[in-house]
Amino acid sequence: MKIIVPVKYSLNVYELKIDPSTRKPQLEAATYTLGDIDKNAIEEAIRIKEKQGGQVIAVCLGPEKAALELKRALAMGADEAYLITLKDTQYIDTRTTSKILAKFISDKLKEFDLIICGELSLDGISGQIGPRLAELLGIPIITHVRRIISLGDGKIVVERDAGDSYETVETTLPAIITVTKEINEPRIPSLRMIMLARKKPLHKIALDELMKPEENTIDIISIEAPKMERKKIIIKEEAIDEAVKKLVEYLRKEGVI
Amino acid sequence: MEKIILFSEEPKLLFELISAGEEIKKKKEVNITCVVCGIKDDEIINKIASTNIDKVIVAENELLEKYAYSIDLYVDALEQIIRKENPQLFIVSSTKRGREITARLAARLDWGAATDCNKVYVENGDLFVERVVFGGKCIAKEKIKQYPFAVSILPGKYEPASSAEKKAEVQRIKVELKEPKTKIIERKSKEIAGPRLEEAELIVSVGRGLKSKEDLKMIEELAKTINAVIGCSRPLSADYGWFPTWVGLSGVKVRPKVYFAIGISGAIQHVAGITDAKIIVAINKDENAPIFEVCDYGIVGDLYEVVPKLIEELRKMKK
Repeated sequence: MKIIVPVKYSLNVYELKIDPSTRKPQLEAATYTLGDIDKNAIEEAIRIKEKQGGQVIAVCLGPEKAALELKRALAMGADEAYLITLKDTQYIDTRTTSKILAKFISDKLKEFDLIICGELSLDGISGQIGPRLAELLGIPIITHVRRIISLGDGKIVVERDAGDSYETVETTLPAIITVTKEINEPRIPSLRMIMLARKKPLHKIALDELMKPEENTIDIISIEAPKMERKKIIIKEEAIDEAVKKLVEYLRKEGVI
Repeated sequence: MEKIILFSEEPKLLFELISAGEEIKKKKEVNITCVVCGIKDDEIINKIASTNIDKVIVAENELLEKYAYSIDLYVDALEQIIRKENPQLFIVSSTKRGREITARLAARLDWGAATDCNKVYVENGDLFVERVVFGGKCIAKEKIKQYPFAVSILPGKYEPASSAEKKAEVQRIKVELKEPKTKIIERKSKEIAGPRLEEAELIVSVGRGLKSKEDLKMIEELAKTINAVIGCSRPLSADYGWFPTWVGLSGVKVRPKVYFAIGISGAIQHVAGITDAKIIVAINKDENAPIFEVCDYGIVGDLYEVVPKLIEELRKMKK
C-alpha cells in the first residue's frame, strides 16, 4: 500500500507568546514544528505499513528549515520525504497550497492508494487542504476519521466524527482521509530510529520548478489576540468556605446567577 | 446587484446565516438566496421563505433522501445551483460537514475560501472575515480580494433571523445526481441529553482533575443546583468516553453567561472553545494552571473541597 501524508511546517502555537501591550503575536520569536495532528496522520500511515507492508511518503510545502521537521517524520517511520521549498516569508493561501500539493502528487508521485492528512492545523485552523486535494485529484474523501475499521481489497471503511453523530463510512481506493487526534498516540522516535532516518531520502524541489503560485484570494490584514479582558481575580482565602462565599458574591454582583 | 447564496444541511442554522446576510445587506445592495437540499417539509421551507431574503431554492432528487447527510451529494447539488446562479459569495454554516462542503466546492470552482469564521462583514465596500487562528490565541482579519468566494461561519455566532413581513419566492430545482462515492453505512447519534452546550447559559465543565466517573455525581449536583448544562474537556470524552462531546477547538464552542472550569488545566485548545463566555470561573488545585490566566474569578483549591461548598453556598443563595 502506497500512502502519502501531506504535512505542514506549522507555527508552534503552544509556545507562541503575545505582546500584552500591542496584543500582537511575537512572530519573530516563534518556533515551528511538524503539525500537531499531522503526527497522528504519519503514525496511522506507519501502522498500516507495519500491518500490510508498503511505503509511506511525507510531503511538505515549506521553507528550507522545514527539512529538519521532515526528518522527524522519517524517524517516526516514513520511508521518504519531499520538501517543496518556498521563500521564507511567502504566504500562500489554501487554494494555491492545495493546487501545489495536487500537482506534485499527480506529476511526481503518480500512483498511490491512500492519502492521510490531519483534520486541520492548529495554526491556520482551516481544515481545507484535505477536502480541496480530494477534489483536485478527483478521488473520494472522508474527513474527521477517528478509527479505521478495515482497509484492503480496494476499499476503506472508517468511523468518522460527523459532529452530531459518529458515522461508519465506506469508500473506494484511492481515497483521502483526514484524521483526528483520537485515532492514535503518535510514537516518539528512539535514538536508533533517528540515526536510521539519516539515511532515508529527503528530496527537495523548488516551488518554481513545479509551478508558479497564483495570486492569493485573501489578504491578511491583521492578526492579534482578542480583547479578552478577563478580570483574573484569584480569590486567595485560607479557608475554602470563605473563598467560595466570595466567589458566589462576585457572581451575584455580576448578575449572572 | 450582487448575489449571495446561503446553505446549511441543518435548516435551523440557515436562520443564523440569514442574519449574516442581512448585516451585509445593510451596507451593500445584495440579493440573498437560501438553498435547501433533500428537505420535503413545507413548513420549514415556508419559514425560511418568510425571512428577509429574496429566494429559496429547493434542490430535489430522490438520492438526497436515500442518502441523507451525504456530503458528496450536497457538493454535487450545490455545484449545479451555483453554476446556474453565479453568486459572488457563498456562505455555509461551519458544521463539520459544512466545512468540508465549503472547501470542496471552492476547489471544484477554483474559488478562495475562509472556514470557521466568526463573522463576515462590509467595510468601505469591501468584504472581510474574522477567524480564530494560532490555536485560539489570535483572531485574523482577512480581506476577500478575489470573487466569487466561499465562507463558512461557525454556528452560534449570529442570532437566528426572525420572520419578515414579505414572502420570498420558492423555486424547486431538480438536480442531476449520481450515486455518492462515499457511503454512510451506519449513523450513531451522539445522543446528547438535555439542552445543547452551544445554547447553554450556564455551564459546569469538568476536566482531568476529576478522579473517577463516580465523582461525576457531585458535578451533576452542582449543575442541578443552578440549572446548568454539564460540559467537559477533551480527555473525559475522547479518551474516557464519559461524555458524547467536549468543549474546545475540536469539540463544541460555547458562549454561556458563566463557564465553570473545574479541574480543567486550560490547554489552549480548550480555551479556544470558551472565549465567548461572559464570565469564566476556574477551580483548580494547581495555582500555575494556565486556566487562571484566562479566568475572571479563580479559586486555587481541591475541587473535592470546593465543589461541595459551592453547592451549599449556591443553595443558600437560592433560598
